[in-house]
Amino acid sequence: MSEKPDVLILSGFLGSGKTTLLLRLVEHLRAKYGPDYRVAIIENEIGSASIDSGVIAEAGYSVTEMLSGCVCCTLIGQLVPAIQKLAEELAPQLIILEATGMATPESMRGNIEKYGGCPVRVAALVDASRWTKVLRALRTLLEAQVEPADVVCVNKCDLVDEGQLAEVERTVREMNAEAPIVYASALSPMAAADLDAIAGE
Amino acid sequence: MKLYQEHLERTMKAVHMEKVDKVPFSFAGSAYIAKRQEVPISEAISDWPRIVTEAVKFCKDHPGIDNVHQPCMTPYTMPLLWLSEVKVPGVDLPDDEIWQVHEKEIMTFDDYQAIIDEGYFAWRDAYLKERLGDPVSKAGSYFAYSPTIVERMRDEAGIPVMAMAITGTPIENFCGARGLENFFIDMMEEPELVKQAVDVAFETMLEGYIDQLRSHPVAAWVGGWRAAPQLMSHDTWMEFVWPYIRKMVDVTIEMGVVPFLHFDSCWDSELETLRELPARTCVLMLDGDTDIRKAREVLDERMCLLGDVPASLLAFGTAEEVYDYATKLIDDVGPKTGLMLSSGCDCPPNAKHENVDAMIQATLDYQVR
Repeated sequence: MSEKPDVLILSGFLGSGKTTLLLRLVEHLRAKYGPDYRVAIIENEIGSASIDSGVIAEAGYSVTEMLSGCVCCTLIGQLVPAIQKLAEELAPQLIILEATGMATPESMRGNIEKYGGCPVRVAALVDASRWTKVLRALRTLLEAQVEPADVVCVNKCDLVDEGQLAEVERTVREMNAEAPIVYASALSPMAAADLDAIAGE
Repeated sequence: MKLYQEHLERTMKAVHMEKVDKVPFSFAGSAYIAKRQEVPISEAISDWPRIVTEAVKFCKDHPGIDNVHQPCMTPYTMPLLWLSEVKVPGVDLPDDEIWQVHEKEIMTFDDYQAIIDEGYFAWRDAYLKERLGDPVSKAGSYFAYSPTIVERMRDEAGIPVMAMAITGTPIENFCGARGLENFFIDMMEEPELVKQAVDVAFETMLEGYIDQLRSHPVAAWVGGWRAAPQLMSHDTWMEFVWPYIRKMVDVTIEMGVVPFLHFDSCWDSELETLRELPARTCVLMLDGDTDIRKAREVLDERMCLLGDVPASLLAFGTAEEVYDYATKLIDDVGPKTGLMLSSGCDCPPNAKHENVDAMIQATLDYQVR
C-alpha cells in the first residue's frame, strides 16, 4: 500500500444508490483487511446531498462536506488541501470522494494525481431505473462521468426488465468501451468480486 | 482620477479590440484578497469598510492590476442567483473557510404553476423569505455600502470595479431551487410548463437587472454557470438559454454598460453562436474549460477574452509555471489587444501569493507588439 491514500472518485446522480454502495464497499474492505482499515469520505455534491452523511458517520466513518456552487474556482482550490488534511489527520488507506453534477471526474482525477500525489480510481454509478430519462436530459454530463470511469456499476437492476438493462449497457458501452461493468440491486448482496472491481482490488 | 482613467481607458481599449499599451490585468477573487490581506473570511463578508481598505492596499501593492471584478461580496447575494441555501463563514462554517452553496431540492414541481399563477416577483419574494431565511435582508448592509465600494476603489486605488451588477438566465434560478438533475428532467418531461415559468421568471429578472444597470456601472456580469451548452443539447440550449442571454446582453449594451460574459464550464460548442453578439462590445470570461485559443479563432477580432490562468496552477503550481502560462496565453490570444489576463474564474483563496504576483507581473513585462 502506498504512503498516500488511494482516492476513489464515486460519481453518480441523486438517488443512484451511492450511500448503500459506499457502505457495502467499506464493509467489504474492512472485512477483507480488518477493522483497522480506515476510510474517509469527502462529499462534494452539486445538485443535492445524495450521500446520507448521517448514515455514513453513524457507521463510524469520517465525512467531510465540500459543497459548492461554483466548482471551477472553489473546488479545485479546496479539494487537494482537504485530501492532504485527511491524510495527515486520519491516515486513511482510502478516501472516497463523491462527485456528481457539474464536477467532471477526469479533471478532478488530474488535479488530485498531479498536485496531491494520490493514485485515483473513478467508479461511475448508474441508476438503471432512471437511466433513459436522465440520458435524454443530461447526456453530456453522464458522458463526463462514464467516459473516464475505470469501472461502471449499474445499480437498481431489479427495477428494469432485460430489454431495458440491455439498452443501459449498450449506451454505457458507447461512452466507455473498456471499463468493466458490474451489476447491483437491492434484492441481492453484491459479489465480493464486484466490490473488489469497484475498489480496484 | 488620472490613474483611474488610465486603467479604464486600457480596459475599454481591450473591450473595443483597439491596440493597448499594456495587456490589461483583471483581478477576480474577493476571497483571495481577504486571505492575502489576512482578513478572516467571516470579517471580509461583513466588515465592508475594512475589506475595501484592504482591497485598496492590495491593488496599490500590485500596480499591474487594471480592474477588479468585486473587491468584496456577501454570500447572501448568492441565493438571489441560485435560489439555494448558502453556508456562511462565521455562521454555518468556521470563520476562515470559503462560503458554500448547498444546492438541493427546495422548490417543488408544483411551484412552476405557482410561478405562472402568482407571478415570479411575488413567488420569489415568498420563497426567499420563507424557504431560504430572507437572504435579501441579510445582504442589506452590503447593498447599502455597494456605491461606496465603487467610489472608494475609484478614488483610493484608481481601479474600476466590473461586477457590481450581476445577472444570469432563469436556468440558474431553477437549477438552484429544484436541483440540477430535477430541473433538467422537468425541462425534458414538461417543456411547455417549464418554458412558461422560465418566461415569467425572465420578465422579473430582466426588470431587476435593469434596476442594477441604472446605477451606471462600467460593466456587468451576464453569467452562465448551469446554462453552459456543455450541459444540454443545442436545441434545448437555443430554446432555454440563448434568447435570454441575448436579451440581457442587448439591454446591457443599450444602457451603456459593458457585458462581461462570465461563462463557466465548456462553451466550445456555441462559440459560433456568440458571433451573433455585437462586435467589440462584450468581454468573454472563460474559466479554462472552454478552449480559449479556439474562442480567439472563432470570434476572431469580434470579442475581447478574459482568463484563464487555471485555479489549480495558481494554488499548486510554481511562479515560473504561472508566468510562462500567462505569457504564452498573451502570445496566443492577445499580443496586441483583445485579452484581459486573469485567473480562470475566481482566483482561489489558497493561491500561492508568489503565483498571483507572477500572473500580474507577466502583464507588466509583456512588450505589446
